[in-house]
Amino acid sequence: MKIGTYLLWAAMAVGTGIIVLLGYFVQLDQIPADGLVRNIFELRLLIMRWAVLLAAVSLGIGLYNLFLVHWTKISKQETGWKYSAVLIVTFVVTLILGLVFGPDSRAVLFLFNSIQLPVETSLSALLAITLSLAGFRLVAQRRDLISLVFVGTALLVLIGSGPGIISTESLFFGFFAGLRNWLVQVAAAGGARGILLGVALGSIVTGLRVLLAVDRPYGE
Amino acid sequence: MAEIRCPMCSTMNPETAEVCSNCEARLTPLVSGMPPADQQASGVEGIKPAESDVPSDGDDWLANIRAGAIMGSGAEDNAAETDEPDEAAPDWLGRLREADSSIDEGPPTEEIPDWMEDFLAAGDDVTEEEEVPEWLSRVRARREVQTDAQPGAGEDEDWITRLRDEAPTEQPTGVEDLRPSPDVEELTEQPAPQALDLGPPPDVPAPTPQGEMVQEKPIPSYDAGDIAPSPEGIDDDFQPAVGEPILPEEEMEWFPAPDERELLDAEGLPHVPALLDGETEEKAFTEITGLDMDSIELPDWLGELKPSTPQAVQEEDDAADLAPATLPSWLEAMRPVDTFRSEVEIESVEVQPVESAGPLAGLRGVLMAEPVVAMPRTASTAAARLDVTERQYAQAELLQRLVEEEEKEIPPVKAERRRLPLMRWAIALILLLAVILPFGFNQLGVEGYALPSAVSPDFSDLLNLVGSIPADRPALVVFDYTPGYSGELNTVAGALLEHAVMRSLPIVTVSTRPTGPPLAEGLLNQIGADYGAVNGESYLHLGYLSGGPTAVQLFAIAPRNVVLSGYHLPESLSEGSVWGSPLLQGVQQLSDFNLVIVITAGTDTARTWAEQTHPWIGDTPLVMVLSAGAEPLVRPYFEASEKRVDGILTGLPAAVSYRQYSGLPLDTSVQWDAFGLGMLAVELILIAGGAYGVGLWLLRLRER
Repeated sequence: MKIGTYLLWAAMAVGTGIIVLLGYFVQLDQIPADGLVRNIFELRLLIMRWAVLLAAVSLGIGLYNLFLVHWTKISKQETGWKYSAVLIVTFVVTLILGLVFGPDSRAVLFLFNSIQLPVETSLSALLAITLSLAGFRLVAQRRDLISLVFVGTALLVLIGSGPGIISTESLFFGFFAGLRNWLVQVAAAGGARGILLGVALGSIVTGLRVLLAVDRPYGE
Repeated sequence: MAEIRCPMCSTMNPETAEVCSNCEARLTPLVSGMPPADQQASGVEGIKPAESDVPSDGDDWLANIRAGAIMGSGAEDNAAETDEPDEAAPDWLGRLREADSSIDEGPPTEEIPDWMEDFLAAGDDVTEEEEVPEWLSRVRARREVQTDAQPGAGEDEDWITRLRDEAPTEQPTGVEDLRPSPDVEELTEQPAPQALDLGPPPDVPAPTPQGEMVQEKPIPSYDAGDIAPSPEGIDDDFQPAVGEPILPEEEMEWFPAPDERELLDAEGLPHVPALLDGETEEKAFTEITGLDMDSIELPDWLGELKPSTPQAVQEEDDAADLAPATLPSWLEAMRPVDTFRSEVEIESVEVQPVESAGPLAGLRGVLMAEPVVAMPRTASTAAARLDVTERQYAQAELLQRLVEEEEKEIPPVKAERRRLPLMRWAIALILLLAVILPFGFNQLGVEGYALPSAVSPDFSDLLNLVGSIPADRPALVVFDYTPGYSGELNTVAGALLEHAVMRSLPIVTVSTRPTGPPLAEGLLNQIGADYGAVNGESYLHLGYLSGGPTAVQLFAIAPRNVVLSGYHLPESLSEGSVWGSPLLQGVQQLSDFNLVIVITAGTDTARTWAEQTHPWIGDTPLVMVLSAGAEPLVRPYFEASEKRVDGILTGLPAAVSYRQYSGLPLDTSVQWDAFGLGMLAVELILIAGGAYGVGLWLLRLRER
């Protein structure tokens, strides 16, 4: 790659990033309407709208790729091609209904409320059964310390979260409710804060590397 | 037409030929600056040492020796040359010519060493009659006969031709191969040339008769400051390769050519005094017994050649009979393993090929450019022995096992008997019964679980916040969850939304997920049915917000620029923009909403709304309705000193409590009982699993 082109891409990326970043530190109501800063702020909004458009285009490309993959699977009669055929049919029907009648038409709402909503809810219900079975097998077959701590913590949170073995009117429920709150709001929240701090630091470093053109995800 | 004799096979070739027609040996040298072959054929006449190399007067003893050696000999051939004074000629040559022109005067005795005086005295005794040795007379006689037989040009070449004809074919070989010809033996019998035997050592190669290879070489002058060549130096310098012809220039290092030329002119044979070995050499020394070698003042370099005396030769012969030395054991142990043993045998010169390229082109027996190690050979016994370490041996065994396992036939795997997932079915059945049974509690007359009585301080703050929100501006509700979480979040968020609808708080929904708008429509339609809330009047759907976090920020900055069309709008708004609805009057940015409620099951979505909207949300409170699993990651935003989240509503117990304390109808008793029985079932399953595991552990302990 020519160095001139590389510098052009880097300059565009760094300039765009700085303009968007400055928007977090500038109050919109404090910007004069006819000033250079205002124009820069408007440019920032324009860039962000382009990003939104690109995100929509990427979604369309993803759908096209999904269609192509399953279409190839059907053409080659690969394993599971029948499921791909069902996907292609429903994909085309939903797309046509959405394009013709709109996403808020009765037909699309019927498909959503009759197929997608029950299916996804049932999958979440199966998740409850799967987790219960996993907990049983864990304490029945792996009798080590980690397994006992894991299942014991889950059991304490379950008891303190609602009515179960102990009714909410019982005196012991207050103890388990307090223990559950401590586990969720202190122990788990402490770990969550650590995760958030790590994510924040990583985001800052990543942003700075892109702004300084150290990382060039747009290519060399 | 003149012809050139091949130096290798003696085949006559045309003068213009560059290579021999028989053996393809090069006839013309490749060395730049060398005179043509025809010019070199004149032999040693072309030898003219440089003036700087001319020996000084003080070292003219050797020239005098030569003069004495040729004194009285027929130098008629050189008479014409000597008559013409050559100013460029060196002194030694001039003196040599003077010696030729003044034969009668004899050598200047005052410059001859003592030992040479004795030597010359002995020579005078021999040549008393005509002052010419007998052998030289015979040589002159033979030469005159030959001159008469071959008159004309090419005299310089004739002597070479005759020499080659008479010389053996193996003449240009190494020292061991050289034997004096009968004529040489005859010459050695004469007393005069005996003095010449004192020159070079016997192992010095003899000068070759190939006059065309002669180049100008200065005669070394051994002044006081010069270092005379030692025998070892001579050996190193003159050690010829097998079959390599000895160049005259090498010979000139130790002995100038004019004497040899004289001899060649006389007999047509080269005089090789240094190569007289064995019987001939011994005979030559025995004939000069009258010469006291110790009394002779020899030069340094000649003094170092004393081992070449007959006694030294005898000692060398005796040394050859000694047993070979044996290496000591410690040195023998240090010898490397003999992994290479050359099987290449050096062939004789005649069999070896002629070099075809390079400056040595046309010569036989040159050193091979290809190293011996690169030539094919048979492996020796030592090379077959492998020095294998234990690790290498283990790796070799491992590799062998791998190869053997590859060759083994894998037995067919027996299909396991399919086992019914009884445990899975049992747990699923227990859970299904736990959540279904509460629906029949009323018919069965079973009292369900009591509603929660404990209220956390966080819950009371949220209740007061929603209860105090003015209804002049709408509340923004974000439906950012998938249908899979609708069972949990619809119940939890339903309490909050019902409270807002009960307070006639306008609601505007938006979602960053494609499935959000239908979920919002379904939930608000369900809630609004009880309170008379109508789409377009009490609530409004902005629809799907594409773009993720960027879209969220853009929406927070300027909602009207991002959302252009709504979702499931009433007929009055279907033709125009959603922003024309009376609910959105006065809403220009995010801070214009009275309340922002985010309903989500994912922590990333909650973080996006908390972080991206913070600079533009102003004083508008942000409330999170979360799934139970997302609470720990969102709670830090709520418990921070500078709150990003003003309220959290999580889980069914909180929703039931919210309904209790907000005055909403408690129509969630069935859900509460199902939730309670389901929790009980899961707790019992975990306890049963623990009991099963402990029982198995105890049984195994008893069996042991």
